[in-house]
Amino acid sequence: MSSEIVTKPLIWPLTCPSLPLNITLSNSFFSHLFYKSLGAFQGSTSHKMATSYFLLLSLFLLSSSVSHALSNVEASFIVRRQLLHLHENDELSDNYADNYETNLTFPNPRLKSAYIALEALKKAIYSDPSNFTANWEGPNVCSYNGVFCEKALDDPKIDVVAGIDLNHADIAGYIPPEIGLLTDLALFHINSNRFCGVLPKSFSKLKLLYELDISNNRFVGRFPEPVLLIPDIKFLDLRFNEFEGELPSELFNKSLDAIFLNNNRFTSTIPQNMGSSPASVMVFAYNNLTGCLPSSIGNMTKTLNEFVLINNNLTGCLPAEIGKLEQVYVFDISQNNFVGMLPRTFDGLKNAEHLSIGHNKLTGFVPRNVCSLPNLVNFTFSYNYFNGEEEGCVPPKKDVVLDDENNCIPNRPKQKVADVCNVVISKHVDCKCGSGTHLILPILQQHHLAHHQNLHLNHNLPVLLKLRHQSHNLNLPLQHQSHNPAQPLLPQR
Amino acid sequence: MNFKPWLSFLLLALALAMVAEASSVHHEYGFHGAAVVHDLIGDDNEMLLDSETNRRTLAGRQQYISYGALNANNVPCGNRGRSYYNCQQRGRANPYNRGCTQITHCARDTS
Repeated sequence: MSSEIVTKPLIWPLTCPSLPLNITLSNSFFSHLFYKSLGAFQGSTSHKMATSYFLLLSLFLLSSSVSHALSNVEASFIVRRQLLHLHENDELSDNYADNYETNLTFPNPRLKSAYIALEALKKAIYSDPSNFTANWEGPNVCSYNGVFCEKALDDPKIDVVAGIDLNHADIAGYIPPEIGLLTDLALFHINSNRFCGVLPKSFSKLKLLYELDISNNRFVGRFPEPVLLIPDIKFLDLRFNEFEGELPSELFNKSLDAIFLNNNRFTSTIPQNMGSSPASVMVFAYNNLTGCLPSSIGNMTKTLNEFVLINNNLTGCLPAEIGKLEQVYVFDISQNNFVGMLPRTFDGLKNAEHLSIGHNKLTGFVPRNVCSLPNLVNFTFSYNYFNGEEEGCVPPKKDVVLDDENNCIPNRPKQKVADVCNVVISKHVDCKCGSGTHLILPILQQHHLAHHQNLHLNHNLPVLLKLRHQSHNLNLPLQHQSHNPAQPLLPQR
Repeated sequence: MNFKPWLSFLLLALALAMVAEASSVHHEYGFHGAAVVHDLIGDDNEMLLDSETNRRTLAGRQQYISYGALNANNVPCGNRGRSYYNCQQRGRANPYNRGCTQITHCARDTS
């Protein structure tokens, strides 16, 4: 019996810790092994992780002095329980619910499917300190806490599970593949819990899902791509997790209204098709995004209201297309590495209320037209290298909070030291997107190819000329500045 | 000549008011903070609907869903089971009902 039990741990979920992270082990030897196990968890070798869990379980079973050790009976129960359900990364077959054996009776097949899903979710829970799921028992799933039933959209005679809302329940666990059986689900809210692992592939089966809020949990891995297969998802909230890697370009081809990705570990450029998204709010703050802000942002002119990109690593110059965002009222790109001048087109932000470009490396003049936007409440351009501000941009100003500290503006208090300013202002502005040559060469190559093969790819030429034109414009004023460093230069009017 | 001291005082008061307003902005963004589960169930609060005309009136106190999202525990609606797009619906929660199409223009529970 004992040897039979110790061979079972291999089936335990491998991408979630098998114990709550906040557990305190009294024995230092066990603590050492526990954290070593976590180290293995961070590695990519499944075999190594399985071995560590095997050792961990063995030691628990062999020592009865540890207060949190599992008894033989408890361990056996867990093993048997696991065998009855899909494991974390298993596939959910189409007829899984039909083959599921239970003595319970349900009003309709969809509530049976919902029962299977909720039973699996409950068994995937490690910790439920507020006993939120205490009443998740029996066939009446519509009475479960956080489960909301409604008449089915396609059959008004039957009740189905339309929403799951576990916000702020502080539950620890993982999301089992059976969740894909909840095919009538319109909203799935689990903000402020401790769910971990990855989203199962079966999420793509939730064809009616409209709102997905898994924010403030402990999910890991790359962007959860099953989400991209949900046909009509509108609200996507992944913030405050540990997602990493690239933002898939497919994200911006979906008809999403809200995209919250802030406070994760995303590292990539922002896909060029970002402006294809109809979202009214995008929050990408506190990640490690690099490259340039796509000029396609100008395509969001009718929809984008709030755009927050605080604290990433974006570089390059600000696209003039930003000025097309007539509906934006929050635009915050502070704490990045943008360079160059503030485009004059910013006066197109007719509805801007909060405008924050602080903590970048912008130079030149702050234009009067931006500071005079009709709905402006707060314009923060501190911690840059602006060396002038036009009339109307000098704080304090009635109705508008302006912040110009820590720039290179003559005769203003709290500015940078001249030596620091000269180093940046005298330098050639580099609008490249980190991999600028990559941006230029393909166009040049296409141009060469077109010429060589007598093909006329006219749509490339304007882009090339535009790039040259921009570069030309950006260089000329700076040359004047370097020629007369002591005198503030008035931008072209 | 008597106007100058009075004008200086007025400008000073105005500046102080603006500073106070700016410093309070970050406490009033439009995501609902965490609360005990009991208080969340069945909670239904009235609040102002966004509109073009009153946005400027509420200068500095506009509820921005984006800035609210910078707090981990915040959610757009504290009424459990309701769509974030229909927070103000009265009566039993119906996840299929949505009262608006842009989350930035939806009424939100800020209790």
